[in-house]
Amino acid sequence: MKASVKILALAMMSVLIIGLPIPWLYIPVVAVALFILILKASLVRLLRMLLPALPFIVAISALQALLQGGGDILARWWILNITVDGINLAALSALRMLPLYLAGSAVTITTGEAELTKTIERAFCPLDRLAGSSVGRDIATMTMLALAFIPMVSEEYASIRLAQEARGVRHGTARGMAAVIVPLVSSLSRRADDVALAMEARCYGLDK
Amino acid sequence: MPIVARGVSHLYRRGEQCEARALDGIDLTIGDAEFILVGGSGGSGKSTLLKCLSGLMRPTQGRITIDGSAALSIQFPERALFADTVLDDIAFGPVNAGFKKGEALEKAYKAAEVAGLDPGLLGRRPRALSHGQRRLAALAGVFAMKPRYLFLDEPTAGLDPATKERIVDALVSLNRHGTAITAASHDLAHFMPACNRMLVMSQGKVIFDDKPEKLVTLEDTVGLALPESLIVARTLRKMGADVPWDITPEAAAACFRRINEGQC
Amino acid sequence: MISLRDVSFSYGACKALDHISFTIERGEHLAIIGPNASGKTTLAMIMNSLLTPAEGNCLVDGVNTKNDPMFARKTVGMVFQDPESQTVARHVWDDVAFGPQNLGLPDEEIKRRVSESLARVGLDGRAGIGVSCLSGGQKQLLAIAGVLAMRPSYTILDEPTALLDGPGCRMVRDAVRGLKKSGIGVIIITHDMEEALLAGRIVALHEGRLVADMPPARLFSDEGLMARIGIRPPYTYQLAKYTGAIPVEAAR
Repeated sequence: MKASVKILALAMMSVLIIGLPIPWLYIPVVAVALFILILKASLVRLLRMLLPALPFIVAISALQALLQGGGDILARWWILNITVDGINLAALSALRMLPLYLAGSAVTITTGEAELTKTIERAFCPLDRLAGSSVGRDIATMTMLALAFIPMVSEEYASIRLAQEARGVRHGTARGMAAVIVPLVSSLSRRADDVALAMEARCYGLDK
Repeated sequence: MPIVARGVSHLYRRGEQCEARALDGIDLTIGDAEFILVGGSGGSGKSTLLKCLSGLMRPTQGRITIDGSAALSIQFPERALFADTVLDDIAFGPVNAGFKKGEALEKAYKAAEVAGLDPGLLGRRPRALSHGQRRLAALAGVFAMKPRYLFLDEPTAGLDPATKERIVDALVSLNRHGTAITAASHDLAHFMPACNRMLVMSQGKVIFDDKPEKLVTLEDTVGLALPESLIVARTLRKMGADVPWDITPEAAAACFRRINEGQC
Repeated sequence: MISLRDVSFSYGACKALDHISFTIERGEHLAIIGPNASGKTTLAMIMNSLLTPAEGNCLVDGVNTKNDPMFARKTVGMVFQDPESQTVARHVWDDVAFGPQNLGLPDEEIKRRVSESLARVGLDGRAGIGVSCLSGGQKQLLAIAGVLAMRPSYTILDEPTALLDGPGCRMVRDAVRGLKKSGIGVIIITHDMEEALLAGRIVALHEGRLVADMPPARLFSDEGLMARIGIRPPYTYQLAKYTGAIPVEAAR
């Protein structure tokens, strides 16, 4: 399946999942399941990608439950109430977020990053040409940079961690974490400045 | 009380494209107060060897026994500077080792002095220092721990000649006071005169382990960036003249002339 | 020709460059030397218009960098010291294609330029490889390829071998020789006097001022000037002097 078709399908499913009322949600959920099957996305990989996202999905749903609910109060803690409606809302949020996340992951694991970014860039092309903007190019560049940065970030983290370990840092402590995260952030921002300079030197941002 | 490595091998699994055997059956002993230079191209295993010998990484095979305290300085150690002031950062090691704040700061002052760091910079934020000064500060941080064995990975990389000389002087001074120094470096020109033992690594193995003067005799220098005098000395040796690796240009020229005239 | 006339630049209160004037012709090989913080990198960034002179002007092939910075960046390529901080993409091909894409060239032209540039630096066998699998020297070759893909007339290399091992240095020096052969003006910033010896001309900076602009042979025979700049003549030069030969390239 071509990348443009996949992205279009993803966009449509997203609109349906977010927009449709509860009784009709089964339609986009089934669509997502079919989508994943058609793309032949590896279920194992999808689940592995889901794991790090789960805490966020749970947290967001939980926040909604705590801050938005109404109806019968089941439990109370400080100023937060857990209500029946709240729990329903949480479940609904999760029900919408999960298939959305899985569909998006299926697209990223079955499409090469170059193809993906080129498709996004092309999608913005008419708009950019009319408005003289460079949204498409900027998004493509940002994606490319983010992906290039990932291996570098983990290497940098490992190095700094080793350096602090060599000076006796104990890792469970807050001071231990600060000793790694503070210099990591400085080092990464310095790298980012260097890369930005290199990009400018290669005419990034040239007005056509 | 040496550091002894027996049958040490290490395998990195970096995924399909670049999996590597970093160390291959290393047997090594590091004695008291030695000053060892470890040379070798990228990928030869120098960094891995240092990490294993200093006790910070366990090799996938083999045993390393370390009798005494060991400390490691990574490549570009200035990346890890993080405290509010340079002095606090240098004192970080001693503080972690359990010393009281006052004692730790004492050690930090002394270490900064050894590293050749201007005392006026100690109160500043690490970010306010120049690159060379940050490197000196990071090295001072490792010196402050006063380890028995000090391992440094490319301590002079990317610096100007003046700062490089300062660092080599600091290491020589530490060595004279009893610290065993093992430095991995491409900068043979600065380190060969300072060290008393040289190792050359290639593809995870040690292919040379002798006094630095003997490097002239090594057949295959596996891509090492040799100092000019050493290259000239090797050439002269092939022509039959036995000259030291640090032969001066004047003496080398005289030798070439004598060879041309049929002597030497 | 790159022409600097009375160029000055300050970082806040600190004067980095003080009325610098000199020129560089097409096809020349120039070395810029000087102690740390003498302004070498600032000078480089002014030549390719990453910085604009506070006073004075820099003209690249007749075009003032203040009027058309992009022309300068296209015409004067720049390779930085740290091989790790110049890559913008995960794959070799995408990284080299970045420059031509910025120039808005059609896809066919981009493909042609990328293959050509990779072949010129000897990375054509590694087009599909991930950048993180390259050695330091190969990453510098990648940076040079990225610059070549923009078809510059001059290339500035800021201490390109400072962070490289033996094989890496050799790779980069070969690539620089290739640049010279193709007629590109090469400007190399270096602390290594052996590298400076290979240039046709050396420009020396000291505390932001230009203190020397002459061929290497003349600079390395001037004891007083060398003492003022704080350099020593390279071994190869001294050897050649004592044997009576003319030092052009170090024969290894």
